[in-house]
Amino acid sequence: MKAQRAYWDAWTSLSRMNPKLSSNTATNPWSQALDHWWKAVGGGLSGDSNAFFSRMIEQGKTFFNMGQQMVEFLRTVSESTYTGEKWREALQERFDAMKTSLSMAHNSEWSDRLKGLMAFYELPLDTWRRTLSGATALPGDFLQNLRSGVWESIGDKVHEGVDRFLSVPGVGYTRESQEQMQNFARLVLDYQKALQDYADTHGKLGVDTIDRLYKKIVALTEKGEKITALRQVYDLWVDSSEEAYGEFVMSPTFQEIYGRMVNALMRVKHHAGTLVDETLGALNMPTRREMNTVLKRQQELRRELRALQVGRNGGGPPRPGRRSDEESREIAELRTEVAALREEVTVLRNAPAFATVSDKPEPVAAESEVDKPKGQAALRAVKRESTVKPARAAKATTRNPSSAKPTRIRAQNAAAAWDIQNIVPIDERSPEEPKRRGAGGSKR
Amino acid sequence: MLPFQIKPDEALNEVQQIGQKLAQGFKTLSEIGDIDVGCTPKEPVYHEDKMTLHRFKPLRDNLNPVPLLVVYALVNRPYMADLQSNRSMIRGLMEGGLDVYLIDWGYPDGGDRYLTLDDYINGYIDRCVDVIRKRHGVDKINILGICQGGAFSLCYAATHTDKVQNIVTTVTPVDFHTRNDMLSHWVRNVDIDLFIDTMGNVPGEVLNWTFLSLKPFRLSGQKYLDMINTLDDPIAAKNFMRMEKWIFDSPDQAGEAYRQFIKDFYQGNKLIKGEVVIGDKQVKLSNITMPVLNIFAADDHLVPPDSSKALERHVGTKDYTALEFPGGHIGIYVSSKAQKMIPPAVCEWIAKRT
Repeated sequence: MKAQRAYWDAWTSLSRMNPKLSSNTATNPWSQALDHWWKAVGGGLSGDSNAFFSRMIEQGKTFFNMGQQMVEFLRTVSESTYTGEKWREALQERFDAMKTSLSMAHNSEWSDRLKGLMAFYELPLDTWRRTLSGATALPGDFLQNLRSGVWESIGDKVHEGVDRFLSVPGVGYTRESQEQMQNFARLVLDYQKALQDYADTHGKLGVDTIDRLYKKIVALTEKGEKITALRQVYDLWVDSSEEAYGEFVMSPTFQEIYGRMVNALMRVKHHAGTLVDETLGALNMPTRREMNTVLKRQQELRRELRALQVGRNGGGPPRPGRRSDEESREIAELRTEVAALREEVTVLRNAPAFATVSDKPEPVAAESEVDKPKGQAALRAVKRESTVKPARAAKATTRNPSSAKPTRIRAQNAAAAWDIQNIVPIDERSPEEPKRRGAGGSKR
Repeated sequence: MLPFQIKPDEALNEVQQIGQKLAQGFKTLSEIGDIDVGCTPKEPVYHEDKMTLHRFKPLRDNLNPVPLLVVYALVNRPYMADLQSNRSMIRGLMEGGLDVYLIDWGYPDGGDRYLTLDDYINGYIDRCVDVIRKRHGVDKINILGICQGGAFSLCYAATHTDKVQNIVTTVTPVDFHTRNDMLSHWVRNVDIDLFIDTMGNVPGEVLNWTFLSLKPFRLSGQKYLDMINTLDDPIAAKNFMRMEKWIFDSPDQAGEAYRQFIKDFYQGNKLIKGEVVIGDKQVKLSNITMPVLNIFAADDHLVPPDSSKALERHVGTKDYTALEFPGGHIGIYVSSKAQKMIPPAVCEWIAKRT
């Protein structure tokens, strides 16, 4: 009993020492002090650190606000409620008052009184506003000043009236653009309603949290535990808030409201994008839609190219921009082959033996006028001419003897008939007989 | 009896202490300097578009001959697995004898909006795997997937069984329709087609705030009050700032890949139904016949344990091991408890199967 009396004497003394704490002040002196200090020094930190520190300041203020509520409660709890179980009634009464405050949030007096506490319950909504800021050009808090209470009383009527106004069909030359603007305004209105419904559901969170907090405190008592620090109360409060929030956001109601809000916002943004594209198009500038078309086709082309590369590489991984080893080898072989063929064509063009019709081979002396191995190739060709009849030339003469071409031309045709396929490079020929590289005999 | 035993002088003292610590913390933060992350030296070995494949420079000899590829999620940045020298899962794996590679997806921009899951899984991941196989002269490698990266790894392993020797999944969602999956509940009624057609790529900020919304009072509130108590310690402050940097360092998400992931995985829950199609390949978890180590966190609020544990019922392997970590989704990588538990377990498990 002595300890109890000493405890309450201390709280009474505190009230006398700091009269501000004893009154129903709308402001918390601790939070105010912190605000003043932060305004004075806040510019001294760099960007990331500044943002980070700001969050700590906010939570410090929230803690102070909660602490103030606790201190006020402890001051006003009379000695009689300290013993027995009457404290529960006192605590319930206090909490009921807070719940009433939270549900009357549009009332300026109460919202100012619990401003610090309410900021805590606005954390989820604040989070959505920041998400909105990241997702659109609209500032996340552009509908913040619309107080819930006002909207509740007149919101539906306003919505209905404006919607009716926006449904008036456009006329005249600007009918299309007018209709688009009307659609846009209607979509913004729909989003506003969806956002308000979302905010309203969060308003009930505070009430649920307080109920849970009360139950947690009672449970502690039943275990014989005591609360000896403000921080303990704060942690219990956070636990209660998370529980209430967790249960709420898993409900079908929240899912429906959340989905409606996100979809409404996307419709606003999608329509805004259409309007912007129309303007850009009128200015002869690239539009988002055109860019998307180009990007999509580009990505599809890249996929097709990769598939081709993989196919050419025998299923192995392509090396973008570079040939595979096999491709390089093949190209080198082809180059060698083409070079050899060029040489032989040159020889054929220069060889005088093909200019006239004669069964007699030209003198071998012609060989000395030609560099080897071209000369050797020509010699082989000449020799072959006497031993093997060019099939095509023979066919040509027998096919149409009455309309035979002049001999010279026939010879030239015969020479042409001696196509390159019949000339085999020296190094590939066996000593026994000349090999013939026909249509099916190519190395390729 | 009234449970509150808060003495007025102690209450005032608590308030004053917070004020003092904030003032001290201001000094600490103003002197903290740059926040460095990703402590273990690495070198890029393959680069394509925004993606880079890194190899961490070995810390010891006698490495496991089968290299390990770490596949991180597209959300957030992979340096979380290598945050600082005493909180690095990567370092732990290397000290355990593994030759570690990591895919860094980079920061997608508007030009990447039409990248699909096919491009990521059958494209980037497959080519990275081939690069590693060629470098080491092996047919198969080990894969370790982190969160969404684990889901990608499962899809890859199911469709490229000839290239994966062992697979490790960490905090990986498999069943996306478990009772307590908050993210899954939230997206059920969201028109993802409208979302992606409108947004193109999904901004990283949207994901940041979505994750914070899972526990707004703790993650946006209580955490910062906790921080005030550590601000007088510059080392603790810097460690905290590293985590803070990672939390808010979210790349944008390529639109088409995000569309398919949300529609097929989160909304349709097609992974466990065998209905996911990546490119022209149907993903059937039953095709995963190589050994599987599935690690999940008991207190994971992002990927509920039930979501990860479902893997056991769907894989075809006879060598399945589950490991529960007593912590949360992030703690499994950065907590000191995790450093003692996870890397040694992974290294030992892989060593037995090499």
